[in-house]
Amino acid sequence: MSTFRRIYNSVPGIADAYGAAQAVLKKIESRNAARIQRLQQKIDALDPNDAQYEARKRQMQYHIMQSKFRDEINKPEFQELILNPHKPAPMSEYTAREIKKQHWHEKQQMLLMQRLEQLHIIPDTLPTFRPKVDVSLRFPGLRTRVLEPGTILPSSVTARPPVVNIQPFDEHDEGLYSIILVNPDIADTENDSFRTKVHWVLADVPISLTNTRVKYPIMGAPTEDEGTEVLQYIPPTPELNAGFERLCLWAFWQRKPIVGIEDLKTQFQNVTSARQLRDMCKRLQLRPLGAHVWRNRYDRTTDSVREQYGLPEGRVFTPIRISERPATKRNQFN
Amino acid sequence: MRALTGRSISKRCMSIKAGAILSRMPVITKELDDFEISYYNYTSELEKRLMWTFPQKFFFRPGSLAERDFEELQTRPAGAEKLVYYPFGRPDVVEGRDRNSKQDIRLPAPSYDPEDKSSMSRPIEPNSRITDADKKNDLKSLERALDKPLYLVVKEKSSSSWVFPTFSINEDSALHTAAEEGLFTTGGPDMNIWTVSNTPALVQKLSEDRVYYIKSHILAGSFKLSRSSDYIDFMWLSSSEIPKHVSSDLWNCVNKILN
Repeated sequence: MSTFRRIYNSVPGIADAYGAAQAVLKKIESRNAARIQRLQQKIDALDPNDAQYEARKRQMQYHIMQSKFRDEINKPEFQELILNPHKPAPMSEYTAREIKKQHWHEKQQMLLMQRLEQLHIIPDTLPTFRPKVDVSLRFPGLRTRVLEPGTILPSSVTARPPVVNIQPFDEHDEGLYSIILVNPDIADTENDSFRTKVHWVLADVPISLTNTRVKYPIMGAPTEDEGTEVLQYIPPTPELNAGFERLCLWAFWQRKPIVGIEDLKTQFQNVTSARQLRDMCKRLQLRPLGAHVWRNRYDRTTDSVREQYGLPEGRVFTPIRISERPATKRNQFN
Repeated sequence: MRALTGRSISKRCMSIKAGAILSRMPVITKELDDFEISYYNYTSELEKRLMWTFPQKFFFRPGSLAERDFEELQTRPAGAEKLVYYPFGRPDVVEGRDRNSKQDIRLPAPSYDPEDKSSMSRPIEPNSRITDADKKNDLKSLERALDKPLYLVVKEKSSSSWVFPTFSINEDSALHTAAEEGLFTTGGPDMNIWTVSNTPALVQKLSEDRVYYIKSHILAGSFKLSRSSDYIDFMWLSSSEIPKHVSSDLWNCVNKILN
């Protein structure tokens, strides 16, 4: 027994109050148990040949889950989970999942949508959507644990691909996922506009409630819990004076494994506009369930990243067009 | 063909009635259950534990007679001694109070004459929660079951069953006025009734009638059954007592709007 516990004398009446509270909870529990039993009997009594059998069964099972949730939410371990959002939760349990989902709804989801809309990721890449899964990124070497959507990162940090986690909160959001990293901010001087570039594509990544890490083989064929790297990660290298580049990572839920995965690479390499990207997603039946975004701009590390990856030298932009620029010594290098 | 005709006739004969759910609101607070008692006890103990030390010097001037009288009644906890091992923690005594527990203050009892009933210093004696009507089980009294809402039920002359009072309405009278007038004709004019809303709270579908129940409270006076009414008896019942007297059909219909 610790010293503090030995010398502490608790407030009189706490044991009685705790016992009485337990009795109340037990009463609620038994009432819920009776309800669950009633529902179970109803499920057993359903006719499997009925056209609405599946729908009714699912509905009743949902009610059973809700009753169990109402029981378990009063338990100390789940109350602790409610009070401490950073505590890791057993996601295979419905109650823990619901609590985590609630936390996510209250903060992360709203923050993500705010960033996506304010940075015009929606509609510059894909149309608006309702996030269902929590996508979190971690860059090797970056100290921050969870990357907030919209953070401006140095090019050296984003030189290597991020570690992606996709956390579904519902069983029906489990399955295969695709990940596409899009950059809608490549300056296109010929058309006086910007074009879209796809930086990274992963497909057929298996994600479940407990297995949330996006895995893909560095070399060789993918194993069972790994996806396929369709397009290798191209590090973002913004141009001098061309402003921010928005790197939007979209997580799509796949209806089925992708057919003809070998041809996808060139197709994604040829994507130059948001319209083409949307067409691709529609054709591959990809449903966006989550997203994340970060930003890059030209900094002192960009040139070294270009060198490291053997990328061509960057362009330099000025507010005055080349044709209109007076030839001075200062801008001779163009 | 005949069946169809019969149905249309019965539909035409369907009448609308105004029912009255006359209630007496609780007079005193409800009985606490075990959990509430123990929880309030715990929170009050906790509050006492966290309370500031009694500012004795403010209330009793040092060196005064009043301070001496006060000091004589107190039992001060012993402070920690040197070279003594306290297995359950050293007493933390400041200003004559052990800070690990609540402070027990005893005030000198005020002097009063027990014979003098008008003395300002006499202790307060609350009235009993159980009234004479409770002891006699007088179901006609409004002064029974003070902590629960009571509802008026009446006995029908024709079927001698217990029901909530219902009244037929004229074509040009509203539901709530019909219910109020009906209550005054059955219960006499010595009542102060407040009808909650002119919207009915419930509709009971009978084979031939529709009864729309209007909720109202009795604020003062008493219900005295008049001889000329359609009812022969009445009772004031709490919601837990009603199902013992009324039919199960009526109870299943009405119980949702009773407290």
